[in-house]
Amino acid sequence: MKNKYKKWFPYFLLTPALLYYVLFWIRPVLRAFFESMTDYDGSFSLMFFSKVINESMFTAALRNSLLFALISVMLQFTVAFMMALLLNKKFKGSNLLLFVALIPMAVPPAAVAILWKTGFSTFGWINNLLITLNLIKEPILWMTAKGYNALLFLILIDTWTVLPSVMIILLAGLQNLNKEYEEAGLIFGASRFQIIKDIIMPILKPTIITAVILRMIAAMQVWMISVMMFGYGRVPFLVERIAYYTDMVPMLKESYKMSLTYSVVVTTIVMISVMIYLRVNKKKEKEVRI
Amino acid sequence: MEFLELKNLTKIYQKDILAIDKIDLKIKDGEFLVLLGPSGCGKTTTMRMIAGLEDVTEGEIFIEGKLVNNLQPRERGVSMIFQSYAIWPHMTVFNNIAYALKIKKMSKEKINETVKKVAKMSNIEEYLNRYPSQLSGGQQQRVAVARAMAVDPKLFLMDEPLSNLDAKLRVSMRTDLKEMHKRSGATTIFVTHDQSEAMSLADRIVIMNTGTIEQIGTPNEIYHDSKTMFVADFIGSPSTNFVDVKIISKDNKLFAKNDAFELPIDDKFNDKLHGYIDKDVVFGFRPENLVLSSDEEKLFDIDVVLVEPQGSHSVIVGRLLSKQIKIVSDEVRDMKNIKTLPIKSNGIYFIFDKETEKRIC
Ligand SMILES: Nc1ncnc2c1ncn2[C@@H]1O[C@H](COP(=O)(O)OP(=O)(O)O)[C@@H](O)[C@H]1O
Ligand SMILES: [Mg+2]
Repeated sequence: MKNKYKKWFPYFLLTPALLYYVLFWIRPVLRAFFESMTDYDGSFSLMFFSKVINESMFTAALRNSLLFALISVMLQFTVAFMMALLLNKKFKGSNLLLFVALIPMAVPPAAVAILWKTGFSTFGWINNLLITLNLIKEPILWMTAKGYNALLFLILIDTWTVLPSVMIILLAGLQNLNKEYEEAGLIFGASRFQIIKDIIMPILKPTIITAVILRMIAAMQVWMISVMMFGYGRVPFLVERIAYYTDMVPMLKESYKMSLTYSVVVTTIVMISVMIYLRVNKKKEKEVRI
Repeated sequence: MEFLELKNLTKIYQKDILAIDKIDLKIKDGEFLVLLGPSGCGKTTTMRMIAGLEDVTEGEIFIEGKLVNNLQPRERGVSMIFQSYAIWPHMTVFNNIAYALKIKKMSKEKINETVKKVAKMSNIEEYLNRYPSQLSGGQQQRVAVARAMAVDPKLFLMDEPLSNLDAKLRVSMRTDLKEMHKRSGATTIFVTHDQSEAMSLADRIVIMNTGTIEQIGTPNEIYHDSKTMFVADFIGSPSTNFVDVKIISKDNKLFAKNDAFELPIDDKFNDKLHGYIDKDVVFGFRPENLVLSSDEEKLFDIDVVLVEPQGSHSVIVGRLLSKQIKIVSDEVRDMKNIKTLPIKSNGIYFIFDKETEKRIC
């Protein structure tokens, strides 16, 4: 009697959360899958997948999303890790530096876009600053950037915004690390670089994986800064397409199904990327063991 | 020439925490030196400065006559066993031991050979493929020892390496460490706050107290010839009984006198006590130097509070002039009906200056 009660009690506690998931999560997800795989009349059809893939913007959106995710995650991880290593050393002013480094976290994405948009306009503060510093003579026409330049531009803005959140996860990991692991490295002859590579990073791996996966998922879903900076269609991303169909052309007959199909595509790609990343990490681990 | 020399060594943390205050220390080649003192006295700080993990605020450290203040830890030829062992959790036992050798670009065969050798010496051969999390505390400790031995160091540093082990294992590891030291002959500095560990391991003990050295000496010197009240109090279990007395002189004979007794002092101390006549000093009696007496010969009576049987002997806790006195005796076992006991000195005692707390004689 008592045992049975014990067995079921956790599920009882979970019920509200489960209900929430079923209502607001599983239902819409299933709906998206269903809508993307049916014709207007509800019969099975992959018509919308082929529509999405053949859309003129799709290739660019896919390429941009993947490139954006790959480059921004690598860049953000590297810089954030270096910053975390630096801030983890207690030195004069390290607390102040930490505070300054965390500022971008407090700025909402829309404000970030506005900040940079006004900054990068032809007579914005960035050109002003560069001219005052005598680094350039003529204002640079940032906002007319195209193709890869525009993409790189967005990567840099995104990096500025999310760096603190990546850094803080890594810093938390570093601060939990037994200092004696590092010191043992120093005593037994490892260089600074070897200590980071052979000792800190492997021990910190769970934290690193968490940070990278969170960033990968978010990067794959980038759209707002692109739209805020350049408007729809200039630098297309997969999720930007979803927003395009729901926000810009909601009246079209196909819009609803197009945006849901894009959602399914993005979800699939995110899941595959995360799986590949985890798999690669597992393999590396095995190599280390031997 | 000394193997290691500390000159005027000082460490100040964060501008105002004086952790080590101008200590001087010389360590002979092959010596097993133990730094002993209460928690917070600066043992770890001293060791970390020798290892190069902590900057020196002032003073010098010489290893084999060479100034090492500005050398990296790896350039000092030292090896260390950390209190937390600090064996790397993501590496197998083998890789933990081999890591330092790989960095030195030693050949694969040589690495294998060395790892096997030290693993055998520290009895962990069968665990080489395991991860630290799959080992018990004692086994992890042995891995830390093996890793430290593998690099064939000139100087071993051990910071309370046994403090995380249970009592029984601690005693057996102690014997093992001593044996390994005999075999390797490497100079060793061992930090502990456990006096019995210090006594049983050390060639010489350095007693530290709030950043300074109280006394350096062999275990026997430290115990039988304690130079300060701190040492007399810290070393020995139960610790030394301190009794306030006044030195008085009657017919050219000196006596230690207080409200409870008047003890004639051996004439050989007359010279040293010359300046203390009619002054207050502190007498220190080790528990075994106060012995049960007959009523005729007694120096004083103590009120018995309780008796702690220890098997081979008993610790009698009593009161004298409302201060606690502890006596070790193998005569008394059952104290049910005894309220007071007659006690005398066996003639062995320390006399301390009350102001400086230094030994007079
Ligand atoms: N990193 C540090 N920063 C500030 N004070 C410290 C630091 N490390 C140790 N101390 C202080 O220095 C003194 C000596 O510490 P420590 O060498 O660890 O003592 P022990 O090892 O003998 O217990 C203590 O008062 C301690 O609080
Ligand atoms: Mg310590």
